[in-house]
Amino acid sequence: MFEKLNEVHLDALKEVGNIGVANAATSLSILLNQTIDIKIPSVEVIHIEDICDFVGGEEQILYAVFFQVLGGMEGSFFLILKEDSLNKLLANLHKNIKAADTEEMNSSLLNEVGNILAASYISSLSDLMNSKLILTYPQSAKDMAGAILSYGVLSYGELGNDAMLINTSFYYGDEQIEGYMIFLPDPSSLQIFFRKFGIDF
Amino acid sequence: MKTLIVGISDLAVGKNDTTLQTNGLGSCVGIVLFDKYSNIGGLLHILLPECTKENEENKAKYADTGIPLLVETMLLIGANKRYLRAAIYGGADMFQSFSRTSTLSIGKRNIEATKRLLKEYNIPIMNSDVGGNQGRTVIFNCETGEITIKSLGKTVREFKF
Repeated sequence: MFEKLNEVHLDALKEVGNIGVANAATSLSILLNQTIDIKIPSVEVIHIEDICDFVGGEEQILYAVFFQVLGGMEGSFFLILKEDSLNKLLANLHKNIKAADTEEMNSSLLNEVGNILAASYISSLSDLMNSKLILTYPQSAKDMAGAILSYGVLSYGELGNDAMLINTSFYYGDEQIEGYMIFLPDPSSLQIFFRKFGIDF
Repeated sequence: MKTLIVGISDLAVGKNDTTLQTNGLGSCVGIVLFDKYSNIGGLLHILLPECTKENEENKAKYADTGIPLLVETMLLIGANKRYLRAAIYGGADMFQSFSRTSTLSIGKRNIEATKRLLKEYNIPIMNSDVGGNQGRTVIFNCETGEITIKSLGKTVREFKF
């Protein structure tokens, strides 16, 4: 399915990650009143069974907020944080927001951070494509990477044994808070995406 | 004692002092088959319920092609079909997903397809821990027929064939 992808395709997809993460980082920066650094996005074509490698394997415990993207370009979107990063992020949020430090409130905060980041990312993609994109409501989970990320490869699994993900990450401050934003466009959406930019696929 | 790790859409079989393990089952289903008279065990980790492609190269990805393949592989190394017993785990609903083709969640469809196939093969399900909203790790010892299920690093269930 992905043999057809050449440099031009990969560059176009990287650009999605680039503007997405830049926009999301701006939102996070306003929310936390801090400078956010972003890493150069990567587009990776991987075997389905290797979907958890970039976070440290299937048993790695993660906090994730999951969204489905619907509309002109469909896919799965994840905000992923490891436990120590989440705790530092929450501590920073509590400095700026007057909220109770309870598990319920923290889960709600994580959903809201996910919502803000995903909406910023997806709205920049929507502008780029000049097409309406909709996010489903945020759903968060604390679980093993395998259990979480397998949701992103379901639609790929129906077509083949590879999946494609646009991986972006951000970090900030001396506290080394690191998070990932992963977008897995549905395979059926790729053609629509490339056609918008006049790229053959 | 050796441990074989079974990835997503993969299967492994083992005899005697082999441990079969699959990590982080979410909506996927892990299917353990065991012939306790020959100590031959098998573990399959399926992602989807049904194969819709004619020439699918990876049969272990689906319940309806993976279970036949697992049974065949076990018979090939000496298991007796009559003695096969099953245990199934996984099929959780981590997230609600919006599918155009089905109102049932992917976890539920995986569980249904698994149960249907095992029934077709007349393999009784001796133990199961399915559904819910937590991921599971399955560790199966072919020597003793013991299964340990872990969620978030904690043992949540133990079973012995």
